[in-house]
Amino acid sequence: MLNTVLLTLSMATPLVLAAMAGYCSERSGVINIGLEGKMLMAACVSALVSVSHGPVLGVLAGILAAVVMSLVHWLATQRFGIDHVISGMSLNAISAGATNFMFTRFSDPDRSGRIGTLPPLFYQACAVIAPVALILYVGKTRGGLWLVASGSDPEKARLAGLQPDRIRLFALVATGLFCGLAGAYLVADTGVFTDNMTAGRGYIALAALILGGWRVGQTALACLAFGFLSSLNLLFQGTQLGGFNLPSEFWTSLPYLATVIALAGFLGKQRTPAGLGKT
Amino acid sequence: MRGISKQFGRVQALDNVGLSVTSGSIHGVVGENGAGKSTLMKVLYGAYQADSGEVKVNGKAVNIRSSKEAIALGIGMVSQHYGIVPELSMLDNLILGAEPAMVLDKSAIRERAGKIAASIGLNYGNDIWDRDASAISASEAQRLEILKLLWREARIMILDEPTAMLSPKDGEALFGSLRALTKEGATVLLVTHRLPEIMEYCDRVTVLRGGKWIADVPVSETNPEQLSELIVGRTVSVSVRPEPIPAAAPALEVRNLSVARDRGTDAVQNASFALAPGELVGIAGVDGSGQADLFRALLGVTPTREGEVLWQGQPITSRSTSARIELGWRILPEDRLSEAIVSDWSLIDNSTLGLHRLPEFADGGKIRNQERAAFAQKAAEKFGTKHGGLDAAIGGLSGGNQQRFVAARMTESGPKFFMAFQPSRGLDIAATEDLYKAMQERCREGASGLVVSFDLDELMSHCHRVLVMFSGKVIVPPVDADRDLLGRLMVGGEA
Repeated sequence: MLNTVLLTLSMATPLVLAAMAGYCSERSGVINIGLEGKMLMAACVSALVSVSHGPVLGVLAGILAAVVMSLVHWLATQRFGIDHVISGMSLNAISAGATNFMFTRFSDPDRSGRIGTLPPLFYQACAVIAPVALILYVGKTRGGLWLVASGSDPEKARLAGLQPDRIRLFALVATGLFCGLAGAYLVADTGVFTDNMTAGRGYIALAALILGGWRVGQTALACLAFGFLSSLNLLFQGTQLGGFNLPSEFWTSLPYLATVIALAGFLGKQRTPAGLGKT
Repeated sequence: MRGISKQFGRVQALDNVGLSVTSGSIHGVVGENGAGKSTLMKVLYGAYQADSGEVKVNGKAVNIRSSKEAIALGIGMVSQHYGIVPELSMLDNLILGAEPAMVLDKSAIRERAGKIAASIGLNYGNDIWDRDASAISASEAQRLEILKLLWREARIMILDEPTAMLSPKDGEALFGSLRALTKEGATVLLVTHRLPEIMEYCDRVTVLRGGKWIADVPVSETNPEQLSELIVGRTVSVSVRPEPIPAAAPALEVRNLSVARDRGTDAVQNASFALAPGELVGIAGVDGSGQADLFRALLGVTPTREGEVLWQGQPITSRSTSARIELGWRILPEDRLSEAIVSDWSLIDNSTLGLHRLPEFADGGKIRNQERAAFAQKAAEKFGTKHGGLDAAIGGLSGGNQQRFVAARMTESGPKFFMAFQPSRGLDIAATEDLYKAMQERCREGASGLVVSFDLDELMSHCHRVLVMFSGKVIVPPVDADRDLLGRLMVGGEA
């Protein structure tokens, strides 16, 4: 029982962090399909830098890498008017290729054992603090009001004297920060970087955001649910369940299957920020 | 404001215009579309920079470079399209852009918001302030906009066509609260094209025409005829309402038509009415009463949930949109940019948009280029569309010129039945008259027409008959219904 709870929390941590990254971006009006790529880049960079310069600089470098990718997304969508989805997909593709190249090129093939990292508990604490902080920020502060306004109707926010471009810049820096933490956590959790180690978590986080109706609390709960399904994979893989020997592929596919079913069932009552993707 | 000039590209939007407003008064600014009213107001509000001229507020010369500076000087503006952000609550909208501090003290904000609402006679509790602003009506949005000005402590309020989206009753209530505010020393600048509002509520009026100052007169010393002469620059022949058409076998008959909305109530509820051949029928009603849904369902763009549509006695409810267009049905849709034109396409390409399958313009799968170009030429000339070549993208034209072109596409392509949504939008008085004349001409040739407008007077002076739509229902008043009755029906009143 305790085992399941701990596993769920550890599985949900990167999802919550990535979903909060998506929340900042999409609430400000920027569609962010590139969470996956940012996480992957952060994981790779933090692994490489952790080995050479220690865990603290490793995390910071991972965050920096994700923030830089976020800023590229801002430039592409807000300055050059590139479609948000295309920009996000390109970043994912670039990230998949670049991390593979960097890791084979720069890591030492003879080295073995875990990469030195910050304790996973640090990230899990972040995953608890981040949603609480965001709820307070959006509900109680001027900046939070501006964030939601610029994602709801940028044109009218501009009439009220706001600068949606600038608000989105800040929002995307926050997106980079959270993606960076999520990516670095994956390395801290497993102790290694492996090719394409995010394994679609960026997309699952996005699905949790949609399921949560772009609201912090509900989104975090959706992440926990996905985390629980992923933990089942580890708990029941290869064990008999009521006489059936379910193949391990079933347990592996469970979170993804749940994503598809949940999205199909919930897309009808979308509560998308109205200004998503608008300038 | 003195000697204000402003140029956009080659267009002189304002040419040495002056405006002087006494504090504590309601001052009207009138003129046709393109006369420079809105531009002048935007210069005052800091949204545009004047090329030359000076502005004095309370006797002090000021240089307003942004809306922020205007607000700091106590100048506020409600634009034609409200600045209400959906998804935020009413309270969040009230304070957006003028928050008292970094961290919001909601209880203090509520207290002040309540006081402000009370000052114009509104009793707003927490239940109202917490409502989602995307669910509020046009009149509530209008009131919220005025509350926003008060929150910002604006002493000079600019209202651009404030009653365009309001029912007559809500309009009266609005002017009631404006009067109350001027008694307390606020100054109101009212931009409008509705002369009755000027005559009834304003103290002085300034007339602009073609970017030039024409006149500035106290309202008590003028009359509507004189004002409309000043506005247009020549005597306008006031159009006379055509006589009702005698009853005949209907050309179009709609029986118990219902159109579903995404969820909940129907957008059009059980509508039944008929149009005689040669009849031009207006549909009055405030915006969002289901007019657009009715049009889309009639053209077969959206499915009907129940009911029947008959054309010359034949049921056509299940026919496709293109089949209906082949029957001679034409539409001037609500949203010009998303439904009537493709901005990047040339005027020629746009001229047969939707009509491209008709034998006049297509020979099997091949476009008849000459006929199409000739039609585009004709459509452009009909209402005097100003354009930079028929090959140029239509998106480069002003809204008024696009409207002239798509209106001509409807009237000049041999319609048997046409539906026009707010046909006068973006047009000046003369062009509006020309357009209605063309529609009446088509009706004399035997076509039938439906016209939706939010301006009851416009419909009453041009249509044979006026129907009313209110929250999805089509009401068929008696043929001789007067303005009072129609106005009451528009807001759900009893006949």
